[in-house]
Amino acid sequence: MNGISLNSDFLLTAQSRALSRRQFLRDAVSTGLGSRLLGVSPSAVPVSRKEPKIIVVTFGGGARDEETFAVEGQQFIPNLIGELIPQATFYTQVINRGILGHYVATASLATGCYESFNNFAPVSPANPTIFEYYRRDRRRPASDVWVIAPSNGFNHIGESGHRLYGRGLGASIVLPKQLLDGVRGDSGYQHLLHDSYESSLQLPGNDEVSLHALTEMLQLSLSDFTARARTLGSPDELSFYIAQHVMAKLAPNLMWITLHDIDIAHAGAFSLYTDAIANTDRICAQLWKLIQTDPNYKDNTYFFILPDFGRDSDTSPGGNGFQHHRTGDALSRTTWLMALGPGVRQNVTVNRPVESLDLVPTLAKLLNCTPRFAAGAPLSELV
Amino acid sequence: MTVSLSMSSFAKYPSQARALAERNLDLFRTLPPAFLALLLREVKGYDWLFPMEQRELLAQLDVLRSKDGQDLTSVMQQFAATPLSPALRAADVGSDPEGYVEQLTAWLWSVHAIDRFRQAGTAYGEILMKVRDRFPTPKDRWCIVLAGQGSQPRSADLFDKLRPHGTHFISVDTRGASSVALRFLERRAQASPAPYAHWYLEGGRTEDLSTTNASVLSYESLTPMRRLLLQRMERARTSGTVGPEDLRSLMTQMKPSDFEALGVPDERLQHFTLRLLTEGSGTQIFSTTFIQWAARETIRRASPETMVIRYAPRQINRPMNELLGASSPEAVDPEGSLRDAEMGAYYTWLNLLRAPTIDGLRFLVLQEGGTQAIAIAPGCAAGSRSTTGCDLARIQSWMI
Repeated sequence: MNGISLNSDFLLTAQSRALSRRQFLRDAVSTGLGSRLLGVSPSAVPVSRKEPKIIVVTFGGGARDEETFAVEGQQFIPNLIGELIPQATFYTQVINRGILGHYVATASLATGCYESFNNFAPVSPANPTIFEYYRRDRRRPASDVWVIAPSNGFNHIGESGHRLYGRGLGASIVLPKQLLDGVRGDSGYQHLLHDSYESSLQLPGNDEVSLHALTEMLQLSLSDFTARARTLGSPDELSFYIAQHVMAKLAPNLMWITLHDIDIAHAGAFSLYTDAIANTDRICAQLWKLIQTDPNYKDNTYFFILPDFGRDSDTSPGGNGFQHHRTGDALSRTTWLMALGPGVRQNVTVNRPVESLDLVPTLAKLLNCTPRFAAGAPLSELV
Repeated sequence: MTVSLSMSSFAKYPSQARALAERNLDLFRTLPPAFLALLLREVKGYDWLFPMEQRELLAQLDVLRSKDGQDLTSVMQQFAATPLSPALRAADVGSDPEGYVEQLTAWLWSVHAIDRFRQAGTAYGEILMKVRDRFPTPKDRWCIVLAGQGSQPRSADLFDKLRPHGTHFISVDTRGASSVALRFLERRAQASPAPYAHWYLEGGRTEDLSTTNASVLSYESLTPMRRLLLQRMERARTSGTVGPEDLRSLMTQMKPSDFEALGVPDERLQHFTLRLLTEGSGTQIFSTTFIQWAARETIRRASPETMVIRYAPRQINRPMNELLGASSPEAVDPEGSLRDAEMGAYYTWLNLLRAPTIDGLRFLVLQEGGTQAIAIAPGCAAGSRSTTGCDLARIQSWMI
């Protein structure tokens, strides 16, 4: 069920990385050590009585500590450091033991199981997703659960092929680039259409029916949409734009946004990789601001931010540093998780190792549904 | 487990590689398939390996034949324990080792066995280091990296990751630095004319050298090859029938004879260059990526004694369909390219640390048009800073 067993060298490296993260944050924002023994956080927020909402952002595809939480990397994430971390519980040692491909890893985050399918294959996860658990147990409609993903390879992530779930129980999925593909006779947004940086392949576009249905649902005119798209600098900015409309018009209880601009790192240009990190940092801050200013979401929403995985270390001889995530070394498998929201202890770090699979059981507890087939355990500091 | 191999497995190998494989058939039959695939991938490319690589491969085969040492036995046992799918067990490892390795990699990820395989590979790498130690070691190695062509001189400190390891010079007259560096390369190439020992990697337009004893690669001169390659990638990408893994396989199967204009005179360099462009990610579209990857592969494969590496401004980022569409480049990004070169220079230094020398590595990086340089050499105190006015030649004299 679990991916790999971890040898002592791996665990030492992961622990060292976690301690480094905690030290970096302590130096930057004076975060404290979280503990189950703490009673009430000094800055506890009253828990809302309304049905909680959840927004998950995958800080992808893959960013290293050197370019984020390390001293030399903090220049690229001023918003995470200065604004979000002080309001969050921050897990410094989240281990991903699965396959380090973006689609399969994100699917694993969404199912709570290490999926094993070909990363480049247009297949559904084998195990049920949190979207299906929530919709089935709480009898929620598709309009209440959304996934926004930039890459065409993610178009099956919302619903599994599991015999007890699937079958229309999944999330509504928006692939903003496919929306643009479906628009006829317009241009000026071509810069948003490129796909995964691991592959330049584009799958055939979606049909116009879903485009019109979506724009009707979001009360968004096609001309407004394309006009806006022309002004945006990246696919993730387009995803954020869609997310804004989904939140404003539908206010779903569960929304999952996969950000992917950082994966430009595969092209080997360090400056483009760090520019993308800075852009992703800004988008996360904008989302949190949106959450805190929208009456449907304010003080009622849990906001989770986590990478799908890291990237190779500079010194791994089999890799080429930040460019890829191919070695499977400890640094590429050890990442972090940030949680904000009602009742979440603020400005604390949690150093014990947890698994990326723990996300789904945690979300399920918050959403009051049962993740029957998910591995991992709920994060006790949060639920 | 005895691997199923025969002479016919090597029928499509180039001539020297075929002869080598046939001579070692009995040995290959005793090796674990997961390891053998990697070894045969190297054997198949024998005709185009650099001299150092050929020597090391032959020495490696001797070591494997002797079955000497507990370390080797232990490593082979680890490889033998690698789980294989029924398809991999039945496959002819010899006829298509590249394809076998691709399938093996995907299989190992899917069964979560890639980390154990990597550990076995790392352990074997340590045995290979001992093989490499048997060969003559260069007295010293020199590497000069010229970064930031076209960028604004910086007042803030550059080369963050290298500063702790050498002397940071902040009052450097960098005018004519490329000429000084290339004349230095010429002198070393004339004094020690071993093939593929001295390299000039140019991100833009090549400057002339007075020696033929240096290997030269220029991103600009590779433009015809790159454009052809990008056209083929774009055709495959938009065909709708070629997936990302198929595209990668397609590219790695390309040969120099597939291209009319190569811009590289030496046949061995043609193969090397083609692999840089087909196996490197982003090397086809960004000159900074090409130079960093080329430096890495040159160090790994040719073990050079002298390198002059010059970064030039890369094109700005554009939509992937434009980048792959091989249209004429638009604007360049000198400031972003400087940041790329800073990281590239650090990676080159890390790569060079793995190459042994007798008297040590001499590594220097500077910003062209700026005033900063880092010199890393036995005589340069780590983490030190110098405000003394100097130029490249003067700094080199302190590094000897």
